[in-house]
Amino acid sequence: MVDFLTAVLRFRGQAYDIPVGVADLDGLTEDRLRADFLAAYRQVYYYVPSGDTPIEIMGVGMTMSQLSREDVALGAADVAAGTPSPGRVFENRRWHDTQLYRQGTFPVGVEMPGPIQIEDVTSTLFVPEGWSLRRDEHANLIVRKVEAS
Amino acid sequence: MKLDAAERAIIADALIACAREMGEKLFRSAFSTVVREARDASASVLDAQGAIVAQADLIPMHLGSMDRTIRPCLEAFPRETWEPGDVFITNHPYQGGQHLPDIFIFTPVIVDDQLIGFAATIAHHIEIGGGALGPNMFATDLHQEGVIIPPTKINLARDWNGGPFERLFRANIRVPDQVIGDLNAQIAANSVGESRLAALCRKYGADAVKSAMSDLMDYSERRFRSAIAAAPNGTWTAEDSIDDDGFTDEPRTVRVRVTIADDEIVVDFTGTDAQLRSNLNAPLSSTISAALSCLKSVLTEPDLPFNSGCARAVRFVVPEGTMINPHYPAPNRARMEVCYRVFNAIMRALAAPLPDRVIAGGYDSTVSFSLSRLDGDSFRVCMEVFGGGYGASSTADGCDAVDSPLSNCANTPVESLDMEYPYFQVCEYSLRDGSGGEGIHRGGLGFVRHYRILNDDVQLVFYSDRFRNAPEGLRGGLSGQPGGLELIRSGATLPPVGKYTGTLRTGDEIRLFTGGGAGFGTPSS
Repeated sequence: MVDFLTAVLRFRGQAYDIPVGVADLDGLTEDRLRADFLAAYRQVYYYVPSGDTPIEIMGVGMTMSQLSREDVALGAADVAAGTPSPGRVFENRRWHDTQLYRQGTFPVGVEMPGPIQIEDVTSTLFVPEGWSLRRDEHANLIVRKVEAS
Repeated sequence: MKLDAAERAIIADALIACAREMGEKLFRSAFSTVVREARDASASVLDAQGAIVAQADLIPMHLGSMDRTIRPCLEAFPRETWEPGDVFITNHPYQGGQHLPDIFIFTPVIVDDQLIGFAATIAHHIEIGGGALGPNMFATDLHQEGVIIPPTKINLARDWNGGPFERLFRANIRVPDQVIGDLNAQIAANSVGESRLAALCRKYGADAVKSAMSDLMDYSERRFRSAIAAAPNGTWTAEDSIDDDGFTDEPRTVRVRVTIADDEIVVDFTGTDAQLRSNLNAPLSSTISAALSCLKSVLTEPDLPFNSGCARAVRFVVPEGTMINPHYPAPNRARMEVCYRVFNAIMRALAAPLPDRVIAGGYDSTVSFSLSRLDGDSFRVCMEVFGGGYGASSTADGCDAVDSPLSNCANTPVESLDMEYPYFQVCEYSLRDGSGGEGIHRGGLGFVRHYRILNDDVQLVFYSDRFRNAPEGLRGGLSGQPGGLELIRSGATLPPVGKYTGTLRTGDEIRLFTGGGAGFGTPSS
């Protein structure tokens, strides 16, 4: 079931947008959305410039919910383990050779010593020497310091 | 009004939080890349007399002298002339301002007819009109550098939002949507500050808030004086130079004499070279901001709230007619370069009495880099501000590839430039190996930025410093590498230059390499 719908808007030229809740899809009009955006803008910034600066819709979000009795394993089962490629990281004034994995291709349940790199769409995890990495069945990446022998 | 310690601390931190929130709101609602990405803007809370009470940790250069900037506004427009919706606006370098792109807006905060203080912001605007597309490197007086806004009171309902002041201003700048958008972001940030201060007054009472403002400045003064008193008494001299005056190859020098006497400090710039014909002059407010920033960073701990209380312990002697206190109408667009030499000269002077609290010379220059184009009937202006490597200290290597200490801007992401500007491309953005001076701790690395031009008639305006004179190391640390800019056309590379204005065409390439910081301590030891 759809819980609620959100439009994210901003004045054209800005980099940050403001979410505006849409309670009544049937009654939604351009004027209504504009008025709701300006009200939300004033709530955040306490000031709304007048004028005809265009407003752009950057996205529409929908929140849905469904009751389930089953556990959901996030992203663990649907991506096969991959082969790493060679990578390099500059740290402590020198380069380190690493094993580079794409997000989701690091094997599940295996604990591997650093240096390792995991590249995600928006971030890169670097596990240095002296630390180890394991990925659990829910796609959590668990980094541990290796005990000195 | 006497506050207990807990109440005073709560209100004082709320004032600082207010300034920080203003800064964040300014960035989030801004339009230009130079404000929303590079974050070249600042925010403060001032008391009813215009003294700086609290400020966000943003651009040191903007913040140290806001009290000097608002003073001419308050003198020109007495309290009885104010109306609801009034704000003060100015960018006049010879009436408390800095350089013309830096526009200050002050919003009075009035609660129950009582003036509590001012919400204040400053932003470096991407364009300010004037005699060139981008910074006017050939300006020989202030008027050629852009629109001058003297200390002015405008009413947002009457004069802004399509009113006469906005219309006049809009007509005199080339990218009005971005500049007006950023000014609206400043007004929004001030509105946030106004609201937060009013809420504090409702919660604790106006008298309590005003008392906490006064206490916070007194607290900073006490800690600042205590830090000065912990340093040895004495007088030390030093100097540092900019590469040239913009017209000849002759370096120009800032000379300083720093005297510490118990809990006071005198900074005397007598002997500094005369004002210049070029835009490498620094107005007095900029000089004082640069000097206070250096003193604060060397003498005190980072947690000390910086406000007008700190300045009470410092006396400045800045002779008129020098390049750090020039007479109107000397141009001053590139004032940061000489302000960095103010910063460096004081740092060098303090190296003798406080060797473990200073850092070696960094690249310490502003690289102002502008690529602009007239596309049909609309202008596009890209303005970036770069630094390089920090100087090393007795405890750490210098930071790599960051903006210099007085500016503190962020590097604009390449992705953001790709989205905004179709007429050039960034092909390389990398650390510059070997640019930091060696030492027990090495200087920070500069970086390389390589551009390819994708259209004809692109205007490049560029200036920087430390292209000839490298930053010097401390205690045997080696110098950092100077910076440079090469223009590559049809496979031929023109020699590196420190200042440039010219028109580029499709296929031209620009290779910018910023300098590294100097090292600390003899490397072999």
